[in-house]
Amino acid sequence: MQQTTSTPGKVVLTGAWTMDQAVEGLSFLALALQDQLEATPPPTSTEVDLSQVRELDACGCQLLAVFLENLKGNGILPVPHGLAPALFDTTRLLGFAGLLGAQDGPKET
Amino acid sequence: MSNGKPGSDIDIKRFNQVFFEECAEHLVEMERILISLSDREPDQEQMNAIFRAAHSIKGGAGIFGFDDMTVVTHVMESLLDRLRKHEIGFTASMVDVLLEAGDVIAMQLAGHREGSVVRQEAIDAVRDKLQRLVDNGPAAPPVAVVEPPDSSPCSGALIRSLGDDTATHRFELSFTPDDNIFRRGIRVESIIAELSELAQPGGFASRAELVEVPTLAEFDPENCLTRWHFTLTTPASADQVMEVFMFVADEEQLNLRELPSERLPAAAPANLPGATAAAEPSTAPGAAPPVPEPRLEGRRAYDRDETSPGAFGRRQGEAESSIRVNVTKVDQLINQVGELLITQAMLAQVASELDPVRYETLHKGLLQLARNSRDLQGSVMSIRLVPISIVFSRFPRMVRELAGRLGKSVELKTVGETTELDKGLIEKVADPLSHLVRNALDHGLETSEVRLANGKEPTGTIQLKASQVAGRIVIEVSDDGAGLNRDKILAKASEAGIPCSESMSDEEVWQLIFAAGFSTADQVTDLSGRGVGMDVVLKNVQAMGGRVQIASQAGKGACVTISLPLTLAILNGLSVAVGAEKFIIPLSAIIESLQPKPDQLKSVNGKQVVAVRGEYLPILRLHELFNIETEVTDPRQGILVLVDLGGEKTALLVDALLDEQQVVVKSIETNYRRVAGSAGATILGDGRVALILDVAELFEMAKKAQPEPGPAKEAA
Amino acid sequence: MTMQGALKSSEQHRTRGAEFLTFTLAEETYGIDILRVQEIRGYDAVTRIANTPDFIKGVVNLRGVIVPIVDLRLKFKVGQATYHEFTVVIIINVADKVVGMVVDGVSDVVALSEEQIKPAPEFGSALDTRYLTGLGTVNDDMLILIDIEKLIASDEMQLMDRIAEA
Repeated sequence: MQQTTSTPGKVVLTGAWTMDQAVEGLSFLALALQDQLEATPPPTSTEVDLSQVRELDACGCQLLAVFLENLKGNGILPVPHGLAPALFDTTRLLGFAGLLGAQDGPKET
Repeated sequence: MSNGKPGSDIDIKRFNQVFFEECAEHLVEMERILISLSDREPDQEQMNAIFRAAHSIKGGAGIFGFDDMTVVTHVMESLLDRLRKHEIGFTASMVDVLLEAGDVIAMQLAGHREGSVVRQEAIDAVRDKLQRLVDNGPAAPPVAVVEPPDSSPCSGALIRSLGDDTATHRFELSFTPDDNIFRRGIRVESIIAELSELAQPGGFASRAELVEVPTLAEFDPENCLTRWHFTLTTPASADQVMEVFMFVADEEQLNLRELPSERLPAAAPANLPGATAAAEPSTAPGAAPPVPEPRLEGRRAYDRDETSPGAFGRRQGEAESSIRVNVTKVDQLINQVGELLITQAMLAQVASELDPVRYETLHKGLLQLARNSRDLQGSVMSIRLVPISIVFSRFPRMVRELAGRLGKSVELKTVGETTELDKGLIEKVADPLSHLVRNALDHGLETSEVRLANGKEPTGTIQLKASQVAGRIVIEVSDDGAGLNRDKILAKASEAGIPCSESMSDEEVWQLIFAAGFSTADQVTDLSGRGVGMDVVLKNVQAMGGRVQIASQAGKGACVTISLPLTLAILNGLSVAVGAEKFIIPLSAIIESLQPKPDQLKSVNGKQVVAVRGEYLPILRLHELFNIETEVTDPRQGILVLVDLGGEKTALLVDALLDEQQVVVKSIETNYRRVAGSAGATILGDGRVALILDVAELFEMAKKAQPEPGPAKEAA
Repeated sequence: MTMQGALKSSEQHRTRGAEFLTFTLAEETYGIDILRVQEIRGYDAVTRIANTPDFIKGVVNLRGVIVPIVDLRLKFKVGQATYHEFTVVIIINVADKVVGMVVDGVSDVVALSEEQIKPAPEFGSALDTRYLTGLGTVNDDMLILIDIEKLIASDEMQLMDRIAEA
């Protein structure tokens, strides 16, 4: 189970982001990116809510990192947040903490 | 037609893997025989079997560049050869030494395969023992008869001191996996976790870097674009760090550097074994970094790690995410799927009598079942099919290396690489083929000087050609060398005590080289050795139910043809009906099918022929050949299937064409006898057996049945 | 029947005490070593093989394995070779081959002790005495015991390639 809901300025990712769902995940992210780019005016930053992500592996980390880089490449500053502490440890172990820039703990909203 | 391409890195690894497995099998076999002897003298058959095992290991090791492994096997072979020729007597202690030699080879194998420790002194010791037995001198110290202790690039790395210092090291490691690593099912997370566990608390840092950032539209999310950089402070050695990546990464994907230790800046060990190994481009493809603690070598050192925790998961990567399955299991699967199809066909038949409206759901379900079972059958059958390129691509490297060593100039051509072959056949045909290629290079082709002197191109050609010819798989190994030397073969044969005579035909003379113990090599070379080659070839091919033929023309070259039955293979066929019977005609033999018009049918010498584009083809009436009652006896009422028998063409009269299908070729001989005119049989969807026609043989049968052959061509 | 019987039959493959599958051909009842019998099935879907003697009916698919079928009634010219839904084929496993035999009917499995088995007669059966191993008596009925392996592997059955051809 994996899903993305996106509105201009905010992308919410849910479920498992792993090798098995990578292709599916990419298509969700591509739509999410499109949503951001087609918004008028396009947002200058987009909140990427990771609080509902349940599972992450190296492949999933890479996918999210590529997505965030794509946002940046289009002039949108990604603001990832909310990754569960256990998953944050995973990203740190996998060396993606920097690329994903996901802050420790859920962000106060 | 295409020239052999040099195998990519991955291919070579895969073949290394094949070699490791074969080598392990040979070792097991050798050990089994030796142990079964329990100090008795082996008989000739056992002796030959041990000899062949040693020879195959040596040959394979040579091909794959594991030269260190040829050292022991070479002396071992010499000993066995002298024993075989009764030049020295057998003693019980030889069994022990041979077993010990087997262990040493196993240790070397494990060294290449898993990077475990190889003890050079054990190798030297056993080699010396063997050499003493060869020389039959008592305990005389060995003279430098054989090569000095090998200087192969990997063994040096493998026996490096591992160091027992407890100092911590600081390593910087970068890891650039191949982009398939995710697809191969390797859990990078686990590897990194394992790596981090080597580090002291807080002594591990990891940073991922995207090697490139594609747009989402261009991005294949299963491709790995990430490079990892790790730093770790650890009591582990460089080798232990490298070991984490064993089976997952090649050395060139890893770059390990030791940073100056914070605590022991001056006393930092100068030798950083793993680091050096990683930094240097590896010259030994199979060499993996050594394992940390020295282990006692022992029997089956080669499969030791297979059961250790962690090894299982990591092996996945090594084997390209493939598993080795016993062929009989696949056969069983194929048979079971066949049964399933038959049951499904039966259900469909029963259901066809039921009211389609009332039983709509049943009909839908059965339709789905039919689709699923067919898909299943396709998948199961495809398990067994592999292109022969898997074998052919072994050869460019082997040929290059051998040619280099022999100082010959050779071009290797491969034709028909896409010919699909049963997996079981592929595995078995590889060995005979490499013997044949080696023979062609060593014995067949001349040196450039000789070739020039004989008015030939300085570069010789070896061609490997595979094709499926009318129900058989034919593999040719041909060269444009000197051809077989009749006189030399006869001389050698009588010298070896093989019965022969001057009055033998060429064909009979060529057969002599298949006798065990025959060799035409003037000197014992490291390459083709002592004439085990051809008897191994024959034995292996016959074991597959195949035949070997030799054609040779003095000065022009030689061609060895291996022809394999399709018993194990799968065939594309056309099913045809003749009366109540069904037959399969191999598609490969079919040119076209037609319903002849009256004016196409002619009579020549009382035989009916069909005129097709100016050619008159004889008509073979299948119902006559197979004695079947049918309404269709006139070609005008039936269908003519034109078939090509390698140049000769003929038309088969059948009642009707039914279906084009892939069929599993089954042996009739397993429980019955050969059936004339058939190349096996298959089981149709309805569960019935149908014969697969051997068109060439049918033609022969028809000729015999009608002694006066219709000279069809004359009529044209 | 007991372990003991089975052991005996394997120890002494010549007919001593053992279990036998009995079948009928015309008026006669025959017995073959039960250990040779793989299964019993009906007669259907036989694919004819051309240019073979009439008693070789052809081959069938037995779970993916191709098995020849001989009709013993035709071979020994007894009874009537008719084929219908009750026609019985005994699948036996001899000389590393699996072969099906059509018979008139399968009756029973009987255990015979050594005492119940007498030497084979010199004549009086449709089968050549070479293939007979003895005569058994069960409830006053005579049972002709056959060395089925010898029979099936014999040249006259034409079921196997002669060694020279192989």
